[in-house]
Amino acid sequence: MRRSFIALGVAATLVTAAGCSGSKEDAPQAKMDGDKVVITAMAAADADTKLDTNATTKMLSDKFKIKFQFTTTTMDGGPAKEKRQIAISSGDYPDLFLLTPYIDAFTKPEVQKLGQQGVAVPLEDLIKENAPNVQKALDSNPVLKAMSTTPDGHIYALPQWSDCYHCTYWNKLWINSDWLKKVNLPMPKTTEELRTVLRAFKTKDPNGNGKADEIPMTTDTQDSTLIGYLMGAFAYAPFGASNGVPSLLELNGDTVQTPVDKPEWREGLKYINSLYKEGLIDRASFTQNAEALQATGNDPKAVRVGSSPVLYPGIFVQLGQKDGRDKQYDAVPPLTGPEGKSYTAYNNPTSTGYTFMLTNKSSKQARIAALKMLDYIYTDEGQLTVNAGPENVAWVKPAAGDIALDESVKPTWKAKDSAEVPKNVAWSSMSQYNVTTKLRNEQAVPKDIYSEQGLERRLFEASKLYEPHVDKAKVFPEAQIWVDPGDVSELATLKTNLDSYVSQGELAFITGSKNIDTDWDTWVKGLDGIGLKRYLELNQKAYDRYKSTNK
Amino acid sequence: MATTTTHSVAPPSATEQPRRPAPAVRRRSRWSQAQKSWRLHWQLYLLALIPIAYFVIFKYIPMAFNVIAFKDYSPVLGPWGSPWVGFDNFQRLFTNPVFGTLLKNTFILAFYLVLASFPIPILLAVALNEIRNGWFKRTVQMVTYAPYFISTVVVVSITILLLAPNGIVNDGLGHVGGGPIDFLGDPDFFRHVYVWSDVWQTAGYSAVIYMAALAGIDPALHESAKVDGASRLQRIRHIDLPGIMPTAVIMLILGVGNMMAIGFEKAYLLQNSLNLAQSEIIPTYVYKTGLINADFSMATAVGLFNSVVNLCLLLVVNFIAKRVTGNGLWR
Amino acid sequence: MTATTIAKKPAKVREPFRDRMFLIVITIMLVVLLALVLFPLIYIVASSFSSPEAVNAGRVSFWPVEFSLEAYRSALNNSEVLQGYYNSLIYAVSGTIISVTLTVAIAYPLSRKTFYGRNVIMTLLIFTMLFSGGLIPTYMVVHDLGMLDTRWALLIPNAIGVWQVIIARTFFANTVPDELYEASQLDGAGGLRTLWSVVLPLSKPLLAVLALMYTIYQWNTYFDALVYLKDPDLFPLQIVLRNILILNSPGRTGSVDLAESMRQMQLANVLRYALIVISSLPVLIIYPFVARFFTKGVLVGAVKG
Repeated sequence: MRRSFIALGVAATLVTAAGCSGSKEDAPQAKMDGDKVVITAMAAADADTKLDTNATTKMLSDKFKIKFQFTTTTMDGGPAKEKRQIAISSGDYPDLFLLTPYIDAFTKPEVQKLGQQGVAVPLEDLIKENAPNVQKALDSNPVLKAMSTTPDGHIYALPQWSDCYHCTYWNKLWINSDWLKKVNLPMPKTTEELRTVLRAFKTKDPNGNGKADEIPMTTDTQDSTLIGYLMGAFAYAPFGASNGVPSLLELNGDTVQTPVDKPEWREGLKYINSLYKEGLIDRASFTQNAEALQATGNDPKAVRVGSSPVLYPGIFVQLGQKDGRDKQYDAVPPLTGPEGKSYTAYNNPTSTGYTFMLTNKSSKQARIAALKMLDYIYTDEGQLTVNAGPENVAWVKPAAGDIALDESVKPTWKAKDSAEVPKNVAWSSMSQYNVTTKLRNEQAVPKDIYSEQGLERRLFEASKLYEPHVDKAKVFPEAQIWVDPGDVSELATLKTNLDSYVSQGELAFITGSKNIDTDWDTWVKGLDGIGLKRYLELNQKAYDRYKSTNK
Repeated sequence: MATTTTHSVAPPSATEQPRRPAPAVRRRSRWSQAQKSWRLHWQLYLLALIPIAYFVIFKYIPMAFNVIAFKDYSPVLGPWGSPWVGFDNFQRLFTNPVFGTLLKNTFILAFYLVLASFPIPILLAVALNEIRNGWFKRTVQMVTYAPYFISTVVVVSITILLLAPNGIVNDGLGHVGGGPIDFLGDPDFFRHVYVWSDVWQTAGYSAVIYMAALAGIDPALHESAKVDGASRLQRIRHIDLPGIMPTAVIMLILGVGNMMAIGFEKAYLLQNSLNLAQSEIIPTYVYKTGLINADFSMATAVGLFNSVVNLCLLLVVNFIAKRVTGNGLWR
Repeated sequence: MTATTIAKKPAKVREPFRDRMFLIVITIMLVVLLALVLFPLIYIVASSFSSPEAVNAGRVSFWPVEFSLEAYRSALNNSEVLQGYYNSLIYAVSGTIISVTLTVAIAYPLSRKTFYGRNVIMTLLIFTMLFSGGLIPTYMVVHDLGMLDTRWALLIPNAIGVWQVIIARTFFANTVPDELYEASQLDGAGGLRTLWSVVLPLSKPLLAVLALMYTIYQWNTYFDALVYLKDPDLFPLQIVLRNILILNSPGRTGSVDLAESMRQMQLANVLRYALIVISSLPVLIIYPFVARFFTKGVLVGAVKG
């Protein structure tokens, strides 16, 4: 215990000393290990990945003459972020952050702050001089470029690009095609046809067990696309920058506005409310979790789910079941409403966390080596190798007769069954994705869309039905927009309040606890009460700046 | 703070002395008190020194970090280098249009939780104490204690499965002719679901403390009461309950004094847009805004606010408890 | 406890009718309670032994469906689990010893009416319960003391709980009669000797509760370990198990293979149940040993008589 007493004095001074270590000297001296330059890096790794002995670490280390010294976090979002924050707060941060998008990536406000404070090193010149492939990715993809470049013109950190085609058209509805045949109705095309179909599901015993146990439409709280999908027949129901999270913002020309206070939105809610009142939408849809939804979808006694608005069928029914019920579900293309509208929302195809950042602790040599490495990772071969593992270990060249995801292109690669891939060969999710549409579409995928391995093709084909319904002019480019750092915290409060007010109100109208005819006007007025105007104003300001810098 | 000071100033065994002696006399008597106490307890003073050092190093030094509630915290500049913003963070908190609702929701939920989770463990411990069958007693003890080790995620997931409109509970209600109850969507049910699932999880564990307190009761008391022909119920009322009263009062004071420290995870997991009107509490709200923008200063300001509320609650309940039962945190 | 000791005698026969009725009512209530608590627990255990498909499809209720050890296999296959158990054992045992010692060291003086300044100290303690600095500054203290990435980082920074101090103080103050102190002082025993030879033997139930609480705290802790430890060889069981869960959760690889991630999701669901069983077994097993101390409430009487 004597140590504690000695430490007392030390500890008393540390609070003052703590923050001051982030000094602003230019590029420190390089540390070398033989002919290799030492780079300290922070990354998240799972229990199977030992970065020091990892095959990809070794390969990159030899190829680019880098000696990595990793600080790893586990892949637990909370503690990983905390550790990253502590590293920066205590001045004990590494040369390089190699983060994972869904775990501990930097947010836009963080990137701006760290850039301004001199912790993050501007990358644009380094990219120009050392990384032609990265430069090419930025030049050929204006969204990526806008996502990467802060308003002061610098690139302080890079996000990842992992183009998920089917996620781009997130608001899907899956319907039981077998039941459609049983009740002798075609795939619904309009909102009223859908009503007819759901009624038939409810009353005509399509599962043929003599019981009225069919649920025409159900979903769960985490995965629901119910409002987004059905609203599409009335108004554009926008997404934000991150995957599948609804947003309140759309564009009308160059004006930022919200659809939720417009008469069309009201009509949409009225329609959904009418389905709910008729008992065509399961009341559990708004309260149950994914497990409860699965239990309904897989009910061993009978097939009970007629349709479900979710991203893909695996959410409500287990794939590859013996009775083949999972093969019964097909996507319903966007419906047409009474006014002839038929929209689907556009979801930014990649997430928006910033994962590659060089700090002012790194030496000049380290920066160049890191960029050269990143340049290799940005090539197609580099992507496959660093993400998944070496050729013939994790992926192979396609055999004759293999068909690419996009049937119009020639396949160039085929993933091996993940059970056959040895552990610790790749960097997987910390590897800095640059998965382009092209690379993804060139993957060989089995032809049978209802097989488990063919799921990707099933979703690809379904998404083709949705793509034409996007109105790009209405899409508020949230992923590309940088909010003024001074406005960020105000915006966060406004957004939290409005999101909660809107989602509560919508469900109140749908379930009938609020009357859409008599309570609507009060509800719309309430939006102003919690700052809708200010919210639109701040977003307009950010959008205008985006517009002026990205012409 | 008023109560604290009076109590700490009052000489330990000075109940006979006048309450407010002249300052000089008081200082003199305090000094002699201290001297006497030191002569008597010098070993204990040395003993207490180590824990006190612990509190200073690991609790008081980090506590200074709370200064960032009054700053625009930048990790690079550190807590002291960051620019001062005065009470801006607090002002933003209090002027937030939803603050009133959040405070109300948090307060009601936390109060209900303390109220429900206080008596149940006592009843459980007292009941177990009456049971003679060793096997049955051990089984009940062990089983009621086990849920404490289940993670919140799993508890919530099972709760939702059970209470879903087509879950087991509603099936059962259907069989006895009860209409389905929307436990998860009806905002009025949120608090009940939250609190009683919590009681389910923690009652057995909390009962352990009372079982220890019951074990500390002198068995001779029970023996003589039996000789006097007291029934079991009477002995519980006149021996067991008074015997664990000091512990119970302390647990209640601590529970109320930590009310606002209610965690975000469970409420967040039980939340949906239908019950949001009652399920949105300060911790879930802070968590949500934190996802958009990790604002350390704001989070710290909220924490400080909660602490101050807790402090007030603690002083009030301690005052009442002292008046009513004679037990309190300060003696 | 009391009841048990008495029950050993032929008192059973003499028990009046109303007391027997009372006991029956209590027993019935406890049986109902037992059922309420037990069923969800059985569900967890049954699920952990079922196939991931069956659990996912909601087919499991109170008996394993498609009996499977898949979850246990994928958890226990990991060599780190054993090391995790070992580490957790070290943390639990040494942490408990340190914590109980320190708690008694502060709680006992605070319980003495003649200990000058005890209310000031109490106020200081309660203050730390209400106002905390949070993780970042505590991390810096741990860092400056050179405890990072050592076992001390888990044992020391949260060694004393204010709740426990207050509980202990209350117990000491209410269980140990003042006459005992006076007698002990007359014998010329110093403060420490009184504590050791008079107070502690009377406080076994309390020590058992403190030990149980601190053991459980050490056993369940994981956030601190994630922040303070780098070396996997020092990881407690909870981290190892959590890593296994994450390893088997979907979305980890960002792989295109949705079917694969579905399978992972199902396994993860079952794993979650199996991990509860694996991690809570040891703390459940120690419980009866601790509970023994609550049924031996003859201590005070023994000393007095």
